[in-house]
Amino acid sequence: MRKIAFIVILAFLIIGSTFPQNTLVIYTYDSFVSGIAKVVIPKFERMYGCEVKVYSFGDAGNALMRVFMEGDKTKADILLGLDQNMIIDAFKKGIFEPYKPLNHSLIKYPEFLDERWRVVPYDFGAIAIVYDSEEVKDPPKSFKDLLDERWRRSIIIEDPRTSSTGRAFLIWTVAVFGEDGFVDFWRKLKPNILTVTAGWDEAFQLFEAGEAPMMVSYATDGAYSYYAYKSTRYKAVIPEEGAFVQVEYAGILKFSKNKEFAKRFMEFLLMDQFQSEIPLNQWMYPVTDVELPDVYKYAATVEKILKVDPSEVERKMDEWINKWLNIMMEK
Amino acid sequence: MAQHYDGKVKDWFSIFIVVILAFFPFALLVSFFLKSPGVFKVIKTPYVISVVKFTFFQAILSAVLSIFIGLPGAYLLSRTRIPLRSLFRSLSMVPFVVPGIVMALGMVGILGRKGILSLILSIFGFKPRSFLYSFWSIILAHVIYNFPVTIRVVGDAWERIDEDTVNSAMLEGYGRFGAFLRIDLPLLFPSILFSFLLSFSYCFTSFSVVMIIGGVRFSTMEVLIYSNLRSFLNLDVALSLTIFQSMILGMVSLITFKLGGFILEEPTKVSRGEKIPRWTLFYSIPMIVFGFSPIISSILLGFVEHGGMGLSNFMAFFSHDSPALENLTKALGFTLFYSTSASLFTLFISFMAGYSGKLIHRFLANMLVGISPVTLAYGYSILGKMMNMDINSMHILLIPIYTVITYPIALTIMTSTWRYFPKQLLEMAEVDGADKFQKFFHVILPNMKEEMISSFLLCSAVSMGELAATLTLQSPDFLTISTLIYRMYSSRHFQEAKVLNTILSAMIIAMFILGEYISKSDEE
Repeated sequence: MRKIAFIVILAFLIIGSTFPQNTLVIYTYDSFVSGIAKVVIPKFERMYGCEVKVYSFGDAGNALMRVFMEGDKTKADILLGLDQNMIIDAFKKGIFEPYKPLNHSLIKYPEFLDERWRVVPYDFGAIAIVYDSEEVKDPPKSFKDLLDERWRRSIIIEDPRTSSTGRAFLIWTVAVFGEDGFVDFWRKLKPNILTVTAGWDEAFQLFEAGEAPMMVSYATDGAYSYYAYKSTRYKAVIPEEGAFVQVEYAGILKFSKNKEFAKRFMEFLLMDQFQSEIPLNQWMYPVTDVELPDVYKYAATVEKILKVDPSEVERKMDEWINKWLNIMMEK
Repeated sequence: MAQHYDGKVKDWFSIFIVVILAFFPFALLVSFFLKSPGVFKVIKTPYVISVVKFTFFQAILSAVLSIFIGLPGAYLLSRTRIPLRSLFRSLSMVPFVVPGIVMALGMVGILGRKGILSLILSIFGFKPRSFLYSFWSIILAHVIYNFPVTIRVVGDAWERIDEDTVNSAMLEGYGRFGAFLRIDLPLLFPSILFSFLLSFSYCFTSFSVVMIIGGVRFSTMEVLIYSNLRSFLNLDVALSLTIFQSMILGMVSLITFKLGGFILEEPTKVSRGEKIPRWTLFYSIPMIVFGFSPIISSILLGFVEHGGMGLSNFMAFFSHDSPALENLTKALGFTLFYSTSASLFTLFISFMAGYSGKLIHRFLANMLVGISPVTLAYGYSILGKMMNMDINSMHILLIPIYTVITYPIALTIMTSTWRYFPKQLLEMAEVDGADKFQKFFHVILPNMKEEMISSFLLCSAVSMGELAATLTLQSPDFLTISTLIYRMYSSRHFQEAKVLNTILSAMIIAMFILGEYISKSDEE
């Protein structure tokens, strides 16, 4: 009797370890876990009767690093949260398994798509100049305005070497002025920069401490400020030259052991149940046609999206950063 | 023979542990990612050379100035019966405990556009302005954070200079300053060099202060390492720079000790009989204001709100659906458990290393200062994967990581404690036939209790505030106060993040006070 019991238990153990369990594992960045995941993940679990585990290791760069270090031993099925520049790094390492979600036609922005469907876009945000309206009555309307003398030492930016916001801002200026013009722009902007911080957090803390009346931040900051504090003091402006958007992607990993659930999750990302939660949880814009909440009238509007070729960014980023650095180092 | 064997064990034990805990995971990372030796060429590029030069220059200048500013304080604390002695002494812990970003914000609170100085000047009709964002503001910030180190390290040595020697020099007609130059200074030289080494190492690896306070033009090696770590395609560059930085710090520690001669002074009676000089008040007030500014500003952060001070952040924090409150108990539990376990372990290793007193311990410890916590965490996550550890339990590896991070600080305290420990007591106990445990519990512990507790509390405080490595090894069911703060900031729960910052700082301050209380009751 004992022998039989032992064999039965052993068989269960073997089956259990051979067949994929109903657990989907996602690696992502921190605010996804503490924010939107709490709302959307239970929905997915109910829909498909599976368990979803969401892991974060700080920011998306760390999550990518983790996947890369774990290699074929990775527990992750999906990597979520890389932006259009980080996915280039990931593509180089060939970590994704292409998959075209069945509901892909819901995506409103064809320019965000990866032609080989290695990743799927799920939201996007725009970089903006955020200002303290108590100090700035007449905010700059264009990049050219930003160079005005009255803004001496008035803007806080993030370092493109250490911050994704800083990197996006640098790319934005390349998109506006071209490869020949952006150096000149930065040289003229330099006297108006108060300081450069390692990350967005530090920049925000200095901004809030009243060190400077402007900082490089996000288009939805004004909407958030109203939503959370009922305050319209901090406002965002996107210069008239056009917006630079950061698109966030998710992809199924090549070494995923649970591809069917992973594919369903890719489709889930584009469903209304997920997309409608984006504005107030991620403070980003949805990629499908869901309605925006009322507070978004306080967000800077994205009217014109500037086109930047990610593969060019990948090829030239180091060069641009070096040029930027040289200008910053000039006395 | 047994004695000899025992000596070898105590020498090698800590070296072995440090190599296993720190250099092995680092070597693992290097073996995985540093495939081409050509990557070391990066060190020869003009930009990196200029950064290395600047890093050296600002670190040397900051450390030297910190000594000049700290010396009068060291004198007051060691030779006179100045009140608030323990307050001054505890100040020396601030730079090691408070995270760089908080230090930088502390400076903003004093020298920023809406800082104290600007406020005072505005009373006299000056326009508000910031005194930050220049080369000299980096140096100023570094000096403010490092002069208390001089006060403590040099002060501890100064206490032990014989009063009679100083008095006889003064009888020969030299003033107190003359006697200082002829008698005190040569005797203090080793401790001055040691204090230089600590401040130099701190400023050499300075990151947030240089970036935020310095402004656009300035970078240290640590900034370069961090920016290269951000992209795994540049990981090899980051690692080669780390090796380089680590070697520099190790070498500097060797050179300073060779120069200082590493004298083991015989303990003498502590005398604080000198008259309190007239410049005391003039010196002390700004020093206390500046020295405590970072910690005070981090305590106050929770009360800062849109356009002033108030309690609205706390109200948000204690509201029903606050994600911070929901996770607070868990975060507190993990934070306390990991920081105390690691600190106990650190205390044990540094106790052994301090007993051995060999120069190699300081050399290794200073090399560790050059390896950033996040690099260490990457090494450990590879190790965890190799050992087939479950991703949910990998955070247990934070214990060795915190140990490595806090070891250099604990070693500093334990080395000086052993230097002044009356070794004849141990010999006497041995003659009386005491075994190892009896010696520890009846001789060592009663004499070292104060330093051990303060070392333990200090290491706990540092571990509590650690963020970079903790984030790298986190999992859904695990979080600490510092990762919770990060989470709150990144999900735009600013109010909750600020309150958590206040809670963390309050915990750190509570440890300071506890440590000081214990040492005070010990003195009595």
